[in-house]
Amino acid sequence: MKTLSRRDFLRMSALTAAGAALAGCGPAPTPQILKETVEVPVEQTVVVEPTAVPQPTAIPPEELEATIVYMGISDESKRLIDTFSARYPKITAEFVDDDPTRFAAMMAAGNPPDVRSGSSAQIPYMLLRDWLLDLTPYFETSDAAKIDDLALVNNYFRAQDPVHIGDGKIYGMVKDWSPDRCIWINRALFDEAGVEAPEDTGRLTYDEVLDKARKLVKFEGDRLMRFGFSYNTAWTDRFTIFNLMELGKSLYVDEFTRANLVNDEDAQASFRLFFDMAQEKLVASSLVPSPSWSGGEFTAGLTPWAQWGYWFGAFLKDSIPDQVEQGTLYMIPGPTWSGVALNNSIGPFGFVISKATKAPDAAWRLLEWDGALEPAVDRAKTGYGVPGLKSMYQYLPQESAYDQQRYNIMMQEAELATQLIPYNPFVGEFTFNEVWSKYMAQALNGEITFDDMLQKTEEEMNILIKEGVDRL
Amino acid sequence: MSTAQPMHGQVGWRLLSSRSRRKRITFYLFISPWLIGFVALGAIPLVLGLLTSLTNYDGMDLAHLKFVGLDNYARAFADSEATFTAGRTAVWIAINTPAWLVISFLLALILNQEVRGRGIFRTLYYLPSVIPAVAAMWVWKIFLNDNFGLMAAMADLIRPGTVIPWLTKYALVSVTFVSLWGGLGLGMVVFLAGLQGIPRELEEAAVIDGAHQFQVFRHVTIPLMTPVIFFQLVISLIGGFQTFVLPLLLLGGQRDLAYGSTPPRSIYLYMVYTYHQLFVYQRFGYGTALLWILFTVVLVLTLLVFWTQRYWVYYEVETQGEGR
Repeated sequence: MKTLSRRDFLRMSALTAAGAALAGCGPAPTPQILKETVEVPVEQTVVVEPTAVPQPTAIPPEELEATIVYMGISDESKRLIDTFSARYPKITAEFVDDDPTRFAAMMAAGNPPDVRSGSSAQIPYMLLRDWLLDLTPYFETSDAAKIDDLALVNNYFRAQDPVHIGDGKIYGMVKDWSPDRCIWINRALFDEAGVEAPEDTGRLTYDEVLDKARKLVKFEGDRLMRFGFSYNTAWTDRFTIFNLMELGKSLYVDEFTRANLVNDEDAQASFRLFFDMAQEKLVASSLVPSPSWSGGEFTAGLTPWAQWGYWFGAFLKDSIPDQVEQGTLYMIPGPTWSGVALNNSIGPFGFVISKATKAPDAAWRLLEWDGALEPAVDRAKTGYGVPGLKSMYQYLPQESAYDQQRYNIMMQEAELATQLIPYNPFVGEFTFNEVWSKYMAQALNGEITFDDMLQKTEEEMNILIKEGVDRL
Repeated sequence: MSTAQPMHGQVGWRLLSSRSRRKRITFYLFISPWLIGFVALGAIPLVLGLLTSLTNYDGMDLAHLKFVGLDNYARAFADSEATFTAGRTAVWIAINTPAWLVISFLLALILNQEVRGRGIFRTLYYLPSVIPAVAAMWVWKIFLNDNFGLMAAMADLIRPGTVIPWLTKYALVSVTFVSLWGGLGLGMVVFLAGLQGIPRELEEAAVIDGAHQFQVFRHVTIPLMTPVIFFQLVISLIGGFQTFVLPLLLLGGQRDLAYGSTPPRSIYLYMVYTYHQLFVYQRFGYGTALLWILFTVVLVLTLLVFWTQRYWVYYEVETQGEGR
């Protein structure tokens, strides 16, 4: 028998590997057969069959036997698995860290996590790809997660279809949320600057915010010593959408198939505000890089006020307890663009269940456990976020004057969480911000004008949206 | 009945065959870990990447995958941003590679001298190479912050109100400096090993023949170091094209830090642009096409460098067709 030479061995190995690779690129999973038409993009119709929704099982939860995968984002979730297993001993729950690359790999392998804790901003995107299980029957029969007990913000997880979010079927629930337009004040720094600190009984306009920011910013020579204002600049597009929502408008038109900046004066005005703040070095930007993040600027005393929600109060208690004790830190209602009061969560975190799950009942038990039972109560007591159920608001910390103050503002703002940010289902959650900030940096450097910046942003977004539409 | 007896030659052949077979098995056993790793983690991903570059894959949705042929490649050549970032990468390599080679070689020369405490210095210079990149970038980012960093505070002591825009206007300078800080140690170690491989007798013979130090360096040390220089040049070029972590972490990458994840234009490198295409815009097909173009360019350039070695690389042992 002729023996295999080394050269032949290596040649055969390469061929085998190539064959394995090509075999791995097998036909894509067959899309669902379509029966009922639901209009999604303007030029395309995605016909989605109303598949039979799994009905909650009559099996007592303690008798449910299954293995499920929970993709979560924190160490807390890992601990949760242990307590969940103690309650449901026959359900084996495996925890995996939430990671976009891992999630994509699991999706590509046709083996998505059964339960995923993530941002609600991704709901339209996932719905468009028919990834989510309709949980309405589970909510209708749940003793813990009652539909009428769901806070308004849970509407981020309700949808008629991917472009109509807010009512309809329930695809998940909130883990915790915050009215993100609120602003945290450091009265001591306002006093130091000789500027009157806003009270929590009123609501500033964005013009007033800009005016105060100009008075608060502090330079020594060319060196910036204190920002005039701080906010999560990765949310510039979302704050603009909020501003437009006050006027009954949106950044996207034609059912999300087009971004509309250049032809909308109000969108231009909103972006102009944020651009001016950056150009005048009132806020961190490519001209004035932040040493940390907007919250870190606040705790380091580099800014007298920062736009963050209820949860930030708990962060301050942990980070700068001395200043909290002094009573100089407090939260005020979110600003308004046009006089209309709106304050919703930018994108609360919550739970969804994959449509491909092989154990929907077990997956539901995990979701219900984390979202509506003991873990939710424990989370509420930390004050690091507002629970998704109204009945759990009572567990939020209210012992100290500090906690009582932020609780009162939160409750007031919770009534204003009536409108949701319309996230585009055809592009990623942060796509707009990445495109916008790229051109904003060029505009701030004087390489392009403000109008060019809007034009380029709109053009590139429309290209990306079109790719997303064409892909489907 | 007669039994055929093996002839002496046949016995010898069997013994040889058995030994040869054992050697063959041993060979395959020894290389199998590497081979399996290379195939599983190198060859297969390469092929999958090539196949992905021919589709419109968005990284998540296989149900709507479409074959687009060479559209992604055509797009790359028409993409002004891709061209721009390729140009910036060329500039980055033109600055960083020679600087790294020269400075690490000089460091190795200095630390090859018989000086007291040179071991400590060698350790100190090598230390940055072992610090995890992410941690190092975070520290440098705070250190170099234009207004609030340590450098700003130090400049303020000398001239109050001074701002040196390390992370904005002088981003290229900062990135080059931090890159050299992190990479010199490794280069120094390799050059040091090469220097210590130079036979002392050759240098002594040159001195005896009347050569002064610089002549010894030029006519003995440099020629004998050309194989090491060649190796360092190749890995530096390959590394330079793949530079990604440094500009992204030092100058961008945090969502709440004002400017998305796009670094300043001066240091907007090809790999950062490719990262954006893949993970921000979810254009996996286009992103992998960009990667394959980069791979091709790096391969061609490396082969070119290999071809030039016949003119300037000297090997002590003559090998056919290579060096002088």
